[in-house]
Amino acid sequence: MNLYNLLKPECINLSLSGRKKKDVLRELMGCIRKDKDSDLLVSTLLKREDLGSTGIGKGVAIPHGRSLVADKLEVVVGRSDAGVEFNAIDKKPVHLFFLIVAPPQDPGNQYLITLGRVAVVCQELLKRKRYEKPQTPEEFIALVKEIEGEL
Amino acid sequence: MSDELKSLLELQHLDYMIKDWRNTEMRREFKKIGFQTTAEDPVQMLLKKRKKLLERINPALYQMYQRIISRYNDWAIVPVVNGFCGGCFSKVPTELSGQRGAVHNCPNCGRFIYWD
Repeated sequence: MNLYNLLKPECINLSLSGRKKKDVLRELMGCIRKDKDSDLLVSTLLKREDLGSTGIGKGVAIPHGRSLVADKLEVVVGRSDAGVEFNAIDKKPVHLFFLIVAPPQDPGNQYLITLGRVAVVCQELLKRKRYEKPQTPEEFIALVKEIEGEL
Repeated sequence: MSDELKSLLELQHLDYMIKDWRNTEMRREFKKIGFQTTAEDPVQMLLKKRKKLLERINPALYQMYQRIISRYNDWAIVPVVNGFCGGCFSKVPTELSGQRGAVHNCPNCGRFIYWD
Protein backbone atom coordinates (compact mmCIF):
# COMPACT_ATOMS: atom_id res chain seq x y z
CA MET A 1 0.00 0.00 0.00
CA ASN A 2 1.07 3.57 -0.62
CA LEU A 3 0.50 6.27 1.91
CA TYR A 4 0.26 9.06 -0.65
CA ASN A 5 -2.92 7.49 -2.01
CA LEU A 6 -4.56 8.08 1.34
CA LEU A 7 -3.52 11.71 1.59
CA LYS A 8 -5.92 14.43 0.54
CA PRO A 9 -4.97 18.11 0.26
CA GLU A 10 -7.90 19.12 2.50
CA CYS A 11 -6.54 16.79 5.21
CA ILE A 12 -3.14 18.43 5.32
CA ASN A 13 -2.55 21.43 7.55
CA LEU A 14 0.97 22.79 7.22
CA SER A 15 0.50 25.62 9.67
CA LEU A 16 -0.97 24.25 12.86
CA SER A 17 -1.61 27.01 15.36
CA GLY A 18 -2.31 24.95 18.51
CA ARG A 19 0.46 24.68 21.09
CA LYS A 20 -1.17 22.12 23.35
CA LYS A 21 -2.01 18.48 22.77
CA LYS A 22 -5.78 18.86 22.94
CA ASP A 23 -5.83 21.94 20.68
CA VAL A 24 -3.73 20.25 18.05
CA LEU A 25 -5.80 17.07 18.09
CA ARG A 26 -8.93 19.18 17.69
CA GLU A 27 -7.32 21.11 14.85
CA LEU A 28 -6.33 17.88 13.09
CA MET A 29 -9.76 16.31 13.62
CA GLY A 30 -11.31 19.46 12.19
CA CYS A 31 -9.96 18.41 8.79
CA ILE A 32 -12.21 15.33 8.87
CA ARG A 33 -15.18 16.32 10.99
CA LYS A 34 -16.28 19.74 12.11
CA ASP A 35 -19.33 18.65 14.12
CA LYS A 36 -19.71 17.56 17.73
CA ASP A 37 -18.66 14.00 16.84
CA SER A 38 -15.15 15.31 16.41
CA ASP A 39 -15.04 16.27 20.13
CA LEU A 40 -15.96 12.70 20.98
CA LEU A 41 -13.11 11.43 18.85
CA VAL A 42 -10.69 13.92 20.37
CA SER A 43 -11.64 12.59 23.79
CA THR A 44 -10.96 9.03 22.55
CA LEU A 45 -7.58 10.13 21.17
CA LEU A 46 -6.75 11.75 24.51
CA LYS A 47 -7.60 8.50 26.31
CA ARG A 48 -5.14 6.78 24.01
CA GLU A 49 -2.55 9.43 24.85
CA ASP A 50 -3.08 8.69 28.56
CA LEU A 51 -1.64 5.21 27.97
CA GLY A 52 1.55 6.76 26.71
CA SER A 53 2.22 9.53 24.21
CA THR A 54 2.01 8.70 20.53
CA GLY A 55 4.90 11.13 20.12
CA ILE A 56 7.54 8.65 18.97
CA GLY A 57 10.42 11.09 19.19
CA LYS A 58 12.46 13.25 16.81
CA GLY A 59 9.53 15.63 16.45
CA VAL A 60 6.96 13.12 15.19
CA ALA A 61 3.63 12.01 16.64
CA ILE A 62 1.16 9.49 15.25
CA PRO A 63 -2.09 9.87 17.19
CA HIS A 64 -4.58 7.16 16.24
CA GLY A 65 -7.93 5.66 17.09
CA ARG A 66 -10.92 3.74 15.86
CA SER A 67 -14.42 5.07 15.54
CA LEU A 68 -17.62 4.51 13.65
CA VAL A 69 -17.55 8.27 13.19
CA ALA A 70 -15.05 7.47 10.42
CA ASP A 71 -16.66 5.48 7.64
CA LYS A 72 -13.27 4.80 6.07
CA LEU A 73 -9.64 5.04 7.06
CA GLU A 74 -8.56 8.67 7.18
CA VAL A 75 -5.10 10.14 7.48
CA VAL A 76 -4.59 13.76 8.48
CA VAL A 77 -1.21 15.46 8.36
CA GLY A 78 -0.27 18.47 10.43
CA ARG A 79 2.91 20.47 10.68
CA SER A 80 3.77 22.95 13.37
CA ASP A 81 6.78 25.19 12.88
CA ALA A 82 6.77 26.29 16.50
CA GLY A 83 6.39 22.74 17.81
CA VAL A 84 3.88 21.28 20.24
CA GLU A 85 4.46 19.91 23.72
CA PHE A 86 3.16 16.38 23.26
CA ASN A 87 4.97 14.49 26.03
CA ALA A 88 6.93 12.70 23.32
CA ILE A 89 9.24 9.92 24.44
CA ASP A 90 12.30 12.14 23.95
CA LYS A 91 10.47 15.08 25.61
CA LYS A 92 11.10 17.21 22.53
CA PRO A 93 8.37 19.30 20.88
CA VAL A 94 6.49 17.66 18.02
CA HIS A 95 6.55 19.31 14.60
CA LEU A 96 4.99 16.64 12.39
CA PHE A 97 1.70 14.86 13.03
CA PHE A 98 0.06 11.98 11.26
CA LEU A 99 -3.41 11.40 12.67
CA ILE A 100 -5.00 8.09 11.73
CA VAL A 101 -8.67 7.36 12.29
CA ALA A 102 -10.08 4.03 11.22
CA PRO A 103 -13.47 2.37 11.35
CA PRO A 104 -13.68 -0.45 13.93
CA GLN A 105 -13.63 -3.18 11.34
CA ASP A 106 -11.47 -2.48 8.36
CA PRO A 107 -10.85 -5.00 5.62
CA GLY A 108 -7.29 -6.32 5.39
CA ASN A 109 -6.30 -4.65 8.65
CA GLN A 110 -5.55 -1.40 6.86
CA TYR A 111 -5.25 0.42 10.16
CA LEU A 112 -2.21 -1.51 11.31
CA ILE A 113 -0.62 -1.50 7.87
CA THR A 114 -1.09 2.27 7.60
CA LEU A 115 0.38 2.86 11.05
CA GLY A 116 3.47 0.89 10.04
CA ARG A 117 3.74 2.67 6.71
CA VAL A 118 3.46 6.09 8.33
CA ALA A 119 6.28 5.19 10.73
CA VAL A 120 8.53 4.18 7.81
CA VAL A 121 7.71 7.29 5.75
CA CYS A 122 8.31 9.49 8.80
CA GLN A 123 11.86 8.18 9.12
CA GLU A 124 12.54 9.41 5.60
CA LEU A 125 10.71 12.71 6.10
CA LEU A 126 12.93 13.42 9.08
CA LYS A 127 16.14 13.01 7.11
CA ARG A 128 17.53 16.49 6.50
CA LYS A 129 14.16 17.74 7.72
CA ARG A 130 12.59 17.07 4.34
CA TYR A 131 9.14 17.57 5.85
CA GLU A 132 9.90 21.28 6.27
CA LYS A 133 10.24 21.95 2.54
CA PRO A 134 6.69 21.58 1.16
CA GLN A 135 4.78 24.86 1.09
CA THR A 136 1.43 23.47 -0.03
CA PRO A 137 -0.52 20.25 0.73
CA GLU A 138 -0.03 19.18 -2.88
CA GLU A 139 3.74 19.56 -2.52
CA PHE A 140 3.60 17.50 0.67
CA ILE A 141 1.75 14.68 -1.11
CA ALA A 142 4.29 14.86 -3.94
CA LEU A 143 7.12 14.55 -1.39
CA VAL A 144 5.52 11.49 0.23
CA LYS A 145 5.07 9.98 -3.23
CA GLU A 146 8.72 10.64 -4.02
CA ILE A 147 9.81 9.07 -0.72
CA GLU A 148 7.67 6.01 -1.29
CA GLY A 149 9.21 5.69 -4.72
CA GLU A 150 12.66 5.54 -3.09
CA LEU A 151 11.67 2.85 -0.57
CA MET B 1 -27.09 13.50 20.11
CA SER B 2 -28.21 13.02 23.70
CA ASP B 3 -25.64 12.98 26.52
CA GLU B 4 -26.59 9.36 27.28
CA LEU B 5 -25.85 8.30 23.74
CA LYS B 6 -22.61 10.29 23.75
CA SER B 7 -21.48 8.38 26.84
CA LEU B 8 -22.41 5.09 25.19
CA LEU B 9 -20.45 6.06 22.09
CA GLU B 10 -17.52 6.96 24.33
CA LEU B 11 -17.83 3.51 25.91
CA GLN B 12 -17.84 1.89 22.49
CA HIS B 13 -14.67 3.78 21.50
CA LEU B 14 -13.03 2.63 24.71
CA ASP B 15 -14.06 -0.95 23.99
CA TYR B 16 -12.46 -0.77 20.53
CA MET B 17 -9.27 0.42 22.20
CA ILE B 18 -9.35 -2.39 24.75
CA LYS B 19 -9.86 -4.89 21.93
CA ASP B 20 -6.84 -3.49 20.06
CA TRP B 21 -4.61 -3.59 23.14
CA ARG B 22 -5.65 -7.18 23.82
CA ASN B 23 -4.54 -8.11 20.30
CA THR B 24 -0.96 -9.41 20.48
CA GLU B 25 -0.19 -8.65 16.84
CA MET B 26 -1.38 -5.09 17.33
CA ARG B 27 0.72 -4.64 20.46
CA ARG B 28 3.78 -6.00 18.69
CA GLU B 29 3.30 -3.52 15.86
CA PHE B 30 2.76 -0.63 18.30
CA LYS B 31 6.06 -1.52 19.96
CA LYS B 32 7.82 -1.80 16.60
CA ILE B 33 6.61 1.66 15.60
CA GLY B 34 7.99 3.08 18.82
CA PHE B 35 4.89 3.69 20.89
CA GLN B 36 5.72 3.43 24.55
CA THR B 37 3.21 3.08 27.34
CA THR B 38 3.45 4.63 30.75
CA ALA B 39 1.06 2.07 32.15
CA GLU B 40 2.48 -1.31 33.02
CA ASP B 41 -0.68 -2.94 31.79
CA PRO B 42 -2.53 -0.72 29.28
CA VAL B 43 -5.57 -3.02 29.25
CA GLN B 44 -5.99 -2.70 33.02
CA MET B 45 -5.68 1.06 32.76
CA LEU B 46 -8.34 1.17 30.07
CA LEU B 47 -10.59 -1.09 32.12
CA LYS B 48 -10.30 1.37 35.00
CA LYS B 49 -11.33 4.20 32.68
CA ARG B 50 -14.23 2.06 31.52
CA LYS B 51 -15.38 1.48 35.07
CA LYS B 52 -15.28 5.22 35.71
CA LEU B 53 -17.24 5.92 32.55
CA LEU B 54 -19.92 3.40 33.56
CA GLU B 55 -20.77 5.62 36.54
CA ARG B 56 -22.20 8.12 34.04
CA ILE B 57 -24.25 5.55 32.14
CA ASN B 58 -27.77 4.49 33.00
CA PRO B 59 -27.55 0.80 34.06
CA ALA B 60 -30.53 -0.14 31.89
CA LEU B 61 -28.86 1.36 28.82
CA TYR B 62 -25.59 -0.34 29.69
CA GLN B 63 -27.36 -3.68 30.02
CA MET B 64 -28.89 -3.12 26.60
CA TYR B 65 -25.45 -2.15 25.24
CA GLN B 66 -23.94 -5.38 26.56
CA ARG B 67 -26.79 -7.43 25.14
CA ILE B 68 -26.35 -5.90 21.69
CA ILE B 69 -22.57 -6.39 21.76
CA SER B 70 -22.86 -10.03 22.80
CA ARG B 71 -25.48 -10.63 20.13
CA TYR B 72 -23.67 -9.06 17.19
CA ASN B 73 -20.07 -9.05 18.41
CA ASP B 74 -19.34 -5.81 16.60
CA TRP B 75 -20.91 -2.47 17.55
CA ALA B 76 -23.89 -1.34 19.55
CA ILE B 77 -24.22 2.27 18.44
CA VAL B 78 -24.43 3.07 14.79
CA PRO B 79 -25.15 6.13 12.67
CA VAL B 80 -28.19 6.40 10.45
CA VAL B 81 -26.83 7.00 6.99
CA ASN B 82 -29.22 8.29 4.32
CA GLY B 83 -32.11 6.92 6.36
CA PHE B 84 -30.60 3.44 6.77
CA CYS B 85 -29.31 1.83 9.96
CA GLY B 86 -25.49 1.67 9.86
CA GLY B 87 -25.59 -1.76 11.52
CA CYS B 88 -28.15 -3.83 9.60
CA PHE B 89 -28.75 -1.46 6.66
CA SER B 90 -32.51 -1.60 7.00
CA LYS B 91 -34.63 1.51 6.53
CA VAL B 92 -35.19 3.50 9.72
CA PRO B 93 -38.75 4.86 10.03
CA THR B 94 -38.73 8.56 9.21
CA GLU B 95 -40.87 9.42 12.27
CA LEU B 96 -37.88 8.52 14.49
CA SER B 97 -35.71 11.15 12.85
CA GLY B 98 -38.05 13.79 14.24
CA GLN B 99 -36.92 12.94 17.77
CA ARG B 100 -33.16 13.04 17.25
CA GLY B 101 -32.35 14.12 20.79
CA ALA B 102 -33.78 10.94 22.34
CA VAL B 103 -32.18 7.50 22.59
CA HIS B 104 -33.53 5.25 19.85
CA ASN B 105 -32.92 1.69 18.74
CA CYS B 106 -33.14 0.37 15.24
CA PRO B 107 -36.54 -1.38 15.02
CA ASN B 108 -34.92 -4.17 13.02
CA CYS B 109 -31.62 -5.02 14.77
CA GLY B 110 -32.04 -3.22 18.09
CA ARG B 111 -28.74 -1.31 17.89
CA PHE B 112 -28.67 2.22 19.26
CA ILE B 113 -28.93 4.65 16.40
CA TYR B 114 -27.98 8.27 15.93
CA TRP B 115 -28.32 10.63 13.02
CA ASP B 116 -25.09 11.58 11.33
